[in-house]
Amino acid sequence: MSRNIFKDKLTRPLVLDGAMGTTLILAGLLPGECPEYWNVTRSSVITKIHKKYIKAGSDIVQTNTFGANRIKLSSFGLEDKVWEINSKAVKIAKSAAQRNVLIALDIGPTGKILEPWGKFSFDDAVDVFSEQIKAGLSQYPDMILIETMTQIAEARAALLAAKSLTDIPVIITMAFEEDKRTTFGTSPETAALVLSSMGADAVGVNCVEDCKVVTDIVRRMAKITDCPIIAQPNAGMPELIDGKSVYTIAPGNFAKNCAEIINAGANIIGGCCGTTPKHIREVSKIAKGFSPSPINEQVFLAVSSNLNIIPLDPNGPTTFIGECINPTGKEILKKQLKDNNYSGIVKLAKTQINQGAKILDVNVGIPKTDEPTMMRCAINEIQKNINVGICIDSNNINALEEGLKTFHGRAIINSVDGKNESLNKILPLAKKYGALVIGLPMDERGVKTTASERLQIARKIVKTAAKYDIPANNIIIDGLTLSAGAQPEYVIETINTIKLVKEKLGNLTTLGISNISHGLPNRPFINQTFIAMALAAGLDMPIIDPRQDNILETIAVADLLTGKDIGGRHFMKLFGTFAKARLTKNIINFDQDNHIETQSLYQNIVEGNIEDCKKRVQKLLKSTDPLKIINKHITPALNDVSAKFECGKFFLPQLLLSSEAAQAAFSIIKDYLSDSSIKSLGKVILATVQGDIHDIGKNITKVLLENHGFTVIDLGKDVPPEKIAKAITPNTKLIGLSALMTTTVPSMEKTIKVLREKEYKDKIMVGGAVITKDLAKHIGADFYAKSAIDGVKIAKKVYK
Amino acid sequence: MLRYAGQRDDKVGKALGDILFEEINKCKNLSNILYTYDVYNKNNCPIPVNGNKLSKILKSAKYWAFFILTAGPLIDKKIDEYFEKGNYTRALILDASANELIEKAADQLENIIRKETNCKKSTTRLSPGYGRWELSVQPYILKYLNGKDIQVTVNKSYFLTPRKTITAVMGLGTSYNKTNKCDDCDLDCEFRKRS
Repeated sequence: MSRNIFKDKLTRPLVLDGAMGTTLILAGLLPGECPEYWNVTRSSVITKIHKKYIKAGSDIVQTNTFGANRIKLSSFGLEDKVWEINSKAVKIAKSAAQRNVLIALDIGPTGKILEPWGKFSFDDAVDVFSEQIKAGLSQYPDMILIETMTQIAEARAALLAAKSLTDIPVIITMAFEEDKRTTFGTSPETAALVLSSMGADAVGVNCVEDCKVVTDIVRRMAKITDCPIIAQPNAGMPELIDGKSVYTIAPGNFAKNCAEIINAGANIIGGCCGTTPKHIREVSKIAKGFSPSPINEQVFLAVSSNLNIIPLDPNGPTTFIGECINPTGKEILKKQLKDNNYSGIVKLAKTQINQGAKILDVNVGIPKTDEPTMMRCAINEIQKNINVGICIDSNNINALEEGLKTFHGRAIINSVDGKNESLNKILPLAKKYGALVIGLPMDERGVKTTASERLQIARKIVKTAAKYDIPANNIIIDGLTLSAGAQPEYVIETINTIKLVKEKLGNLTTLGISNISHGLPNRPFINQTFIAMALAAGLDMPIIDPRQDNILETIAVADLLTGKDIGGRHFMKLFGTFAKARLTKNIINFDQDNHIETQSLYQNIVEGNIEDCKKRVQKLLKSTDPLKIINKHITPALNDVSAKFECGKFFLPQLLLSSEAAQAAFSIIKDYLSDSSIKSLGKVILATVQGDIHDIGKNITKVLLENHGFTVIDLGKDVPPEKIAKAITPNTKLIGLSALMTTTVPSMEKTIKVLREKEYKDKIMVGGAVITKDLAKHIGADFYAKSAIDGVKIAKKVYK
Repeated sequence: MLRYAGQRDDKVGKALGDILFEEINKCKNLSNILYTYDVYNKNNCPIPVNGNKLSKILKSAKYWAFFILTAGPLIDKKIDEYFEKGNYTRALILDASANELIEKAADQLENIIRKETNCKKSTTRLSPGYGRWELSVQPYILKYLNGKDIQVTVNKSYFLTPRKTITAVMGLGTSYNKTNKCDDCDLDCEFRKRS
């Protein structure tokens, strides 16, 4: 069936079938038995099941091939039966089907985790899926349904395999958790964007218990894509009754839930785990009463990471691309790449993201190296732990494709130009992988062209892209920046190119800003002025060095003045941040000789990088006074972390990690300090009271107090009052007591009483899970510490 | 697990991510799950069941199943060791992992109890301290269920050792299921599940 015919069939919501696995269990499938092998050994049962669903009203029937790939089959010793099982399955379904019923070859996950999060390669995954799909295609199904994908990487592999083998419709669904993300964190919007841009004929959700969750996911996907949406919820949660799993949602209620899902935008509806022909009958009755859900005609322009979308709205705040991952002129980075060391790449990525970059240009081109492999490794190292969009920058077509395969979001290709050779090589890749493309308006005439000539080339690029079925707005036109030192007369042509493209074509525009000042002095000021001119002309997505604060400030001001920053919110936030940064520290240090930045001690403490902290402090000690390191780097970093904790940006694990990093730094610095320069802010005795054996809260308070310069006498847990009293010295001004449960609050009260009887007149603070301000007052404490940070504030107040 | 560690979102950087992965594995390796349970007719139960919320939940159940489940002493030892050595983050994460581990183990124990007692329905489990059930019941639970057989003891303040131990009751033969146990508790601690 062709893709157009499939779209034409959507005159009303199409009904899929329900669960196969559940039905097979009822038919006698034993634990440990391969369900897909019943296509061979008990084909009559499979035929009966298909017929039941068709009689119940299914428009589309899925073959019994969910786990019929060689990986899953190998657990039953059936890995050499892929062809037999899949081809038989399609044959059975076709024989059961009546004229108008469509047969979908069902493809489920391999069960392996793909790189870079696991060890299974993308190419191997494509190979496994290709084997299964070829087998099924031999019997001519009407479509392919890829389902229950939890990894966007695996979903892409299956989709690519299918699209490379056939022109029949391919529909694909992902399984989401209660938090409306897949197990690996992909949002519904990202799934819809990535998979529909790669050519899926319908996208959607399956295997979710809560129909409200399914409804929301469908609604969110429908906003993003112009693809039909498919939903296959479960029949609720399974309950263990008499040792058997029983699903809780009855057919009538299930159908009502499906009505909500169709209202939310689903064009194809069916059932997953726990659903039966009875459920599908009820769904079919309801579906007949619906008109087709309108398919979103306004295409939402965005790129994405593997987790989140990055909208590209020309009327919204400017989205810039970070240019720093490029080995040109960076000898240390070049050496690292040649040694297969990507730590420098990851650091550059993190630095740019910290400066607000949402998309990073990745260029690993070094002559006489294996660029495709380096591109794959670089992108994997970045996307493994960093949530960011990628612009794949290469002249090497193999490196470009390797990058497009590897990156599991929606990428941008940098770039294609106006020459036929470039267009015919690169645009097919953009189509295959669903990427946006930067178009350089440059052809055989070279770079010395006028704005009108560049507009003509831009038109050619967009027109040729249309021949490859790439929408016009997927092309981002580069205005072509030449150095003002070498070609000053072309600067205005570049600015005018931006104006003309916006006026005549409407495409998004980009410029490599730093190129303008190449070879000239006072580069930052030239770059800043140039970007201001270009933004005024309509520049949408500048490619910049995000480490240059002046460039970010200019972008922020331009957004404010052009109304893109509504209410000036971003402007106010940014200028607050910059003011603080300039007063307290360097965010980035440059290795001037080698153009490599090194993350500062401050940043390493904030991020909790313990080993990097140690290295950084050792380096700083060669040139900086140890006390200055504490006062200018460590203490501000700890204050920053405390502030982030208090406003809910950081949580306890980050607080502790930063504390450990700071302590690692202190442990090196203290050897460089004289005794007289180490001044404790004061002594604090800490104890968990008698009868209580929990001490995590007390231990965390201890760490923070020490980091902030206090001397802590930690008496441990289950401490009798007399022992605490014995630890008091004349300079003790603060005792901290902790208790976890209500049963030990009396012990806390008794401890305070004993201390007062022994004439301790100074301050006592209390804390713990059940302690409140009122309770603290009631038992005679002076302070209530709600958190470890509160404990530090109290100590500072007492020892002021 | 992140909620037990005080983390309110899932944005963890690489440094913390690596620690999470390592300590979760360590938790699994150090744990030694042991349990014991017993079932009583509600009209003839020697273990005090008080607290108005608890009574409300259990009243329609004919039988009450009590259990003790522990992860063993090695995790406690490791946490203490981490704190002594200044590995605070690992201590916190291991502690949080162990909390999650025993809760999940208790979920599985509930399934075992329902299967072995052939009961189709049950209430969710409640532990002393929840639903106003007095902590002073702990010694009774340990006595009647022979906590010593699985090396679980209780001190005078009703703290259980090993620390990663759960005692609980569930009603058999009726269903009262809440996915959010925080709904049945009126205290506002930092670990409360918030939407």
